[in-house]
Amino acid sequence: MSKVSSRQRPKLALIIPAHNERVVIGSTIQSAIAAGMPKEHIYVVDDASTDSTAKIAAKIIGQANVLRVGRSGKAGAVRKAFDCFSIAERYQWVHVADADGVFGEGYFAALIPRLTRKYAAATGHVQSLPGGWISQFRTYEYTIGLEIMRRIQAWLGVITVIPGPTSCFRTDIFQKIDFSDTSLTEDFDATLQVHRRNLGKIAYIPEAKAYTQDPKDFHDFKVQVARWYRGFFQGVKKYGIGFKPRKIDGYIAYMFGETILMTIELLAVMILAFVSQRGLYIASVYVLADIAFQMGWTVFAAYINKRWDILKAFPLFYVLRFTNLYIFYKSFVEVIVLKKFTDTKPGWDTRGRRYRIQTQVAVTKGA
Amino acid sequence: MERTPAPLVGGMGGGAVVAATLPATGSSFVVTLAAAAIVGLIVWGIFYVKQTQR
Repeated sequence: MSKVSSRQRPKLALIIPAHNERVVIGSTIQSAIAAGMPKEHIYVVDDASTDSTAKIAAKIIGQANVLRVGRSGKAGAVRKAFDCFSIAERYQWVHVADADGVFGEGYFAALIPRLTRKYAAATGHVQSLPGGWISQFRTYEYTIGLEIMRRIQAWLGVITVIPGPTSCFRTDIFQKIDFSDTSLTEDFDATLQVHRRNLGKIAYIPEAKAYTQDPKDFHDFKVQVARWYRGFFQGVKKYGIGFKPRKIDGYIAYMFGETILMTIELLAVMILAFVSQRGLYIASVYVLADIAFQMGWTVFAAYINKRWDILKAFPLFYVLRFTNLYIFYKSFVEVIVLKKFTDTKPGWDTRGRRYRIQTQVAVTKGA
Repeated sequence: MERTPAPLVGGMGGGAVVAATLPATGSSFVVTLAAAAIVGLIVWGIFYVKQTQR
């Protein structure tokens, strides 16, 4: 393959790693094509699937763009595809996307012009696909996390995670990132590497909207959240987050401190309610203010996403919020105090939680 | 997504702080309202779960 200068290379390659994704791989690829990605630049790496994932992918993008590998885990599979398809020599940027995602209309048209040498990596906007109460909660959670927090993070230069459904790296930067790591959350680990090693800025492109499947039931939700929080503490521990005078340290320390403060406040209010009449009054104001505040955010999330169905599940958001909180502290104890999960095997956490996506049009118009 | 639950945990702690500094006028009404809101959320939640299980 002859070498071409970086400016002559096509701008972007898309790699989709997959393991037993028969149910969703076709719609994910089709959504990428519909969102403006030429199919000759889409690559699927099938990580030892036992179903027809590779066959379905090959039918759409051609056998030459599908690679089958032995069990490698997501990060390992992506790295093998990157090397096998000579992505660094042929492209300026590489986009990695989960096999359960759907790209919104105009995703690549919004993304590609923003991919410049000024940035090392880029991320779009993630939103939940329509689904049950977990998806309704995630719509609310993603809206606060991305519409508000992510914009602030981008402005401050402290984007904490380049999430799996929409992660994009300059190919020269991608080569410098260690994806062979044994982190439970390779996207968080890769993001911390970008910060720790001063690889460059991360762009947030909110106009590039991608949709992801969320856990279909409470059990899967707990499994996913535990993986996220364990991965979070693995990263904090590994990169010594909070102990260096960097912006990312300050920001993550602030996020962690905010959780601690909120918990103390919650416990204090609960105790106060039992010790005095005035304490009960303060606790009552707290409860009413919390409901009003959370309802306000839920209406905001419903309006922004045109997902008015999420309002119906509002009381269950409390169950999931406190589940999040419990798993966060449990993960802290497991990873930081008990030093568990120091040698985790990277893998796939999505088995059994796939459901068929109808069409991209249904998703983007209905969402 | 943010990998910490912070923005979703505590809600309006500020409301409690403000309440602590104000005279507790109408406190029995506020307490009754809060209790009704909690009961309302529980009933609403049960109704939602039953409806989705149909």
